[in-house]
Amino acid sequence: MLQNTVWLMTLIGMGFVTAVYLYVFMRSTQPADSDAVKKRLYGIRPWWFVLLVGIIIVALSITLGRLPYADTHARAATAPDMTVEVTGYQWYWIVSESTLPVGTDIAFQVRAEDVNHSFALYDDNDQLLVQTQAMPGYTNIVRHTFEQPGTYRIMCLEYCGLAHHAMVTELTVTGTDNEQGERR
Amino acid sequence: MSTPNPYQPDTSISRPQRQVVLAYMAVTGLVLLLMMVAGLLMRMSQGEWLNLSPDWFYKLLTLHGTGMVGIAGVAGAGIMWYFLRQYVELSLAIAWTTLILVLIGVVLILGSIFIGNFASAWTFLYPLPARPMGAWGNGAATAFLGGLLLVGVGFLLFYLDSARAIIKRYGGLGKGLGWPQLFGHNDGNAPPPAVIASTMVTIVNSLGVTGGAIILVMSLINLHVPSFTVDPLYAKNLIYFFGHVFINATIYMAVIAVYHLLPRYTGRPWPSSNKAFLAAWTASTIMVVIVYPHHLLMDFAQPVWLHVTGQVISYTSGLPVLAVTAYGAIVNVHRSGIRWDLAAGLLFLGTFGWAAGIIPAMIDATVVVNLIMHNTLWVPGHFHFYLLLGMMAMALGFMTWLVRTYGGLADGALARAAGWLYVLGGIGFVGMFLVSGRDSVPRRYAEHLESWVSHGQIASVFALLVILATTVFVVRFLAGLGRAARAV
Repeated sequence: MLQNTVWLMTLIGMGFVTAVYLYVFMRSTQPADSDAVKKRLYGIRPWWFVLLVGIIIVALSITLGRLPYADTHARAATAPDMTVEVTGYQWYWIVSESTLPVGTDIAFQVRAEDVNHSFALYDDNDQLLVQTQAMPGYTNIVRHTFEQPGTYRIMCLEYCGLAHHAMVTELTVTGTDNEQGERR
Repeated sequence: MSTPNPYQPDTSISRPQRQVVLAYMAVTGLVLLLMMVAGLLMRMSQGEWLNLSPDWFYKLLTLHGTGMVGIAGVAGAGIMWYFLRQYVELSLAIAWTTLILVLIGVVLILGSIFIGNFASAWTFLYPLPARPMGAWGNGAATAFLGGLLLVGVGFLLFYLDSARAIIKRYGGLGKGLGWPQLFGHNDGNAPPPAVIASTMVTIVNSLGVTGGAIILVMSLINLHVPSFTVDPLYAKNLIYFFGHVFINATIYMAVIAVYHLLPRYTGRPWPSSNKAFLAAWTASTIMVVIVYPHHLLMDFAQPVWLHVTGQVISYTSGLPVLAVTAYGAIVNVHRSGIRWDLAAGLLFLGTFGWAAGIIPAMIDATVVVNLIMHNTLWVPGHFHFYLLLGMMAMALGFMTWLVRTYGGLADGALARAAGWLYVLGGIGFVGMFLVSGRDSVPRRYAEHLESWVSHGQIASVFALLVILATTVFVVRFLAGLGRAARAV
């Protein structure tokens, strides 16, 4: 699950910053020659700066190749197996198909009729799978393949007024794992 | 080595000039506490320890967001004015005018929320103010948007005066950023950090506030002339451009206190006339203006190059902060023999909060991550990290230093305990936001699913600790305020 990877990376990064700060804090009251401290610490700055730039370049090269925008801009390399239209209103969703097959590459065409909403797919463990904004005048297309049959929910993640949190509708995903295997 | 005296009053700032700064910081302290209570109530409601109706939850949400953003601006402006005034001739009348306009705007905003039931969140995403489904009227929406416009006008005056004064003293904004030393021969005479940072903030916030004013005026017209419509995606770009620049700039203002005060504790100057420092601030000037598209990564219809810009600039904009400010603070403090007090501790904490908070922010700005993290509580997790533990820690450190230096209010055991409580409560509180984001809990939800309720409860306990600590800071500040204002 990507959420756990993100969490782990954050803990490592923040843990490192915290450790450095704690070390400096604990040594701060023991005086040393200022010029020597500055020379040593500023001397290593270019090295870790280059390392940081390297990490950024690697992260960008890995992640920028996986942007989810191709369908919206009519540049998708492959056509989806199925298209579902989703429209947000204050405070409900109209979905063209609410029973969907497992293991099928589905393109959700998302728009709104009144104010900004956000289409977010949640599984039955309350885990967010994918999202895109729903807004008046634009159609955002997000693709998703359900891995498991079950009950999923569309929730609104863009504040849209007093019943924003109640703007939920269910999707039923049917089929078997075998079907999913065969499709693959 | 002589022992540094961090409490040496600044003779280059007069008593009336100090008084306006004290007024800015007093307003900051009082409003900060009230907004924190509003935040606690929301978290308690999500934790089902309090039964807030959705309309009250979203009114508090609107109040908390608008109030905190506004007060961060006021605090940053107070800090910037105090230090910048020591190098350039700022107008005292304009400083007071800004504060008065902000306060009038606040009254309008409070009226719109508590009398008119306005609850569009501080982001007032077009066309929600005009489409409330009967929850509020046009009058309330007009009061809110008009109040915000008044606040923006106040701040614009403030930045225009800063620009005027910097140009008059240094001969141009480029010179205020130290460009002759950055791009030419470095003669060691670049302006001090306060001027460089203030120049950067003046540039970005003049643009940001103007962008905000444009969408506010368009939204106001739309309220009263519905046939006048705005493209919602264009409106969203303007709102997030303004919002991001404004709130981001508050940190760049607050950090001026770190540059100028921490060296007084360590005895190590923080030189600004070196190319790394100057390059970092020039780079930040550009990046703060163009990084805002990372707020619209889930607007798939936005041009793809803007999405890519949002991610790339989000990654790179952390570099100057880490390499110059956070690392500079570390070098300044490391084995300096510093004698810590509450003010120094909060200032140093502020650089930590900024540096550490950048990490979850950068990760969230990755498009493929944003796909599952956007508008979850991960987002307030990272911005509370660098606002509560970063920007506001710097502001509270400055306030503590002010009343120590001019009011003679020394630290006691209670102050030290409050300092540690703030750290503990703050990390726990923002940590629970991040945990909630990992667990896909949406932000801005009046009611939470059963599996999310415990997150709100734990967060409420930590929030209470933060409020207790902040109460000590603010009460101490108010206790020393009179003497600090009267001191010669």
